[in-house]
Amino acid sequence: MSDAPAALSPTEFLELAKQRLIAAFDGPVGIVGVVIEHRDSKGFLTVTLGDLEPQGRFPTRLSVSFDPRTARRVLPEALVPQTQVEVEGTVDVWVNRGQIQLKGIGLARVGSAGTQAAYDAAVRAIGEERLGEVRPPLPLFLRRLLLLAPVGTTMGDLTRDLGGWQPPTIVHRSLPGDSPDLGRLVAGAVAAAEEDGEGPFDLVAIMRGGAIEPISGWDDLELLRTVDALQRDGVPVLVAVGHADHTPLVYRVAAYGVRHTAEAGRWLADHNLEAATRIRELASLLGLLRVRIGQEAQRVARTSLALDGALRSHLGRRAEAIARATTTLGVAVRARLTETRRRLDAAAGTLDAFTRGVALITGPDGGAPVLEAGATLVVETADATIRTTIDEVTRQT
Amino acid sequence: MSDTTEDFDAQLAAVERFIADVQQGSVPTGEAMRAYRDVHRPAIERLRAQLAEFEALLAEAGVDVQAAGEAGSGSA
Repeated sequence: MSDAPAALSPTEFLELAKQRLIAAFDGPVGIVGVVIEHRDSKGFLTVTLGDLEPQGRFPTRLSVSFDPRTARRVLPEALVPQTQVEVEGTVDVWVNRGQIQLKGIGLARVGSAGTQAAYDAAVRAIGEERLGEVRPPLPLFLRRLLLLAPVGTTMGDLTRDLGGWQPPTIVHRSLPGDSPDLGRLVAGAVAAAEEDGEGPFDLVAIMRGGAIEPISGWDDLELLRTVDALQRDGVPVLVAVGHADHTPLVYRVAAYGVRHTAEAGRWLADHNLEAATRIRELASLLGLLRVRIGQEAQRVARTSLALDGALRSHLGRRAEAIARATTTLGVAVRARLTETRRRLDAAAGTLDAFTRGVALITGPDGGAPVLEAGATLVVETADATIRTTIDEVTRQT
Repeated sequence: MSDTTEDFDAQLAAVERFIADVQQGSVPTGEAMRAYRDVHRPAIERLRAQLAEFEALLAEAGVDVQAAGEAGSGSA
């Protein structure tokens, strides 16, 4: 039963129809058709699509509109009339014309324009240009991936239990399952994701599901060069292209490859689980290291205490020895000083006694004195020199 | 003033040699009095001052001079 009112205006009806239509398609849809025409207006792009096999007298037409940012990523070759293209977009209704259309997310040529000659040239180029020579290592833990794959591609196992670790963040950009422009589409999608601030990425995963033709866009030289350039910039590339009896050339260049998208999910989950295990082991190693450091610290403390005791004892013995030596030396020096003082006192005493009462009498000129009254005498003792005059001379002979 | 005990010993020995010379009578009395006054008495004063310095150094080095002297006398 419908919950719509009994009577609606045309606008009300179309608005309601739009809501229900959008709800019915809860995600992007993929459409494969041929380009009928396209129009550019102020950066906005409108592409009219028709069926690969037109139906009857009134062929179907579907409008796909692109905003300027998305329109810039559409390659000119994909807009040539009668080109087979794959469009991804969300359902929309142009209410004032009562027309269903798509809001375009991506538009690319589909099918393979590859030839055996082009395939052989690509094989030669792998050797000559050393494509795939650089194979960047994966980070320990993959945290952020860029997934380039058709809308609806899933990576199943990637979300399985990672032992408490968060699954990686996946940034998805659409890529057709096959296209002669895969190289440029991959390069453009990586550049657009980086420009949108989604990067940097630990890994670029390029995938598609289902079987492919023996020669396809996945063998295209331009795609091989794009993958090689990414890896030379340090970005590891994983490819998962569903294939049955042959292996596309992109596997020879990409550093990492698995056969199916489901296998890619397991591969990524296994990588992160192994990283988680290694990180846990590292954590337990750190614990062991901490215990060992604690034990070493205790040993050092014990050794330090023992050394302190030994050093204190040694220093004590040295101090006692020095004190004894000081005393011995002091005794010897003191004895020497006492003896010296005795000799000095004896010498001084002897000289004092020897010179006591001794006087040398001369004339003023230092010669023999004139012995007569009134003559001048000079009397020298150890303590003084005296000039005096003779009062009286009493001769003994 | 001399700075070493070798200089000190040499100066004291010179004074003692002079005394020996005087006692032997080989120096005239007046000359001996003058030599005592001008040379040897000042030398003795300098030697006394040096001796005081040595004792002060010994005390500064932490040696109990009096006790060391007594111990030296006792052990002699």
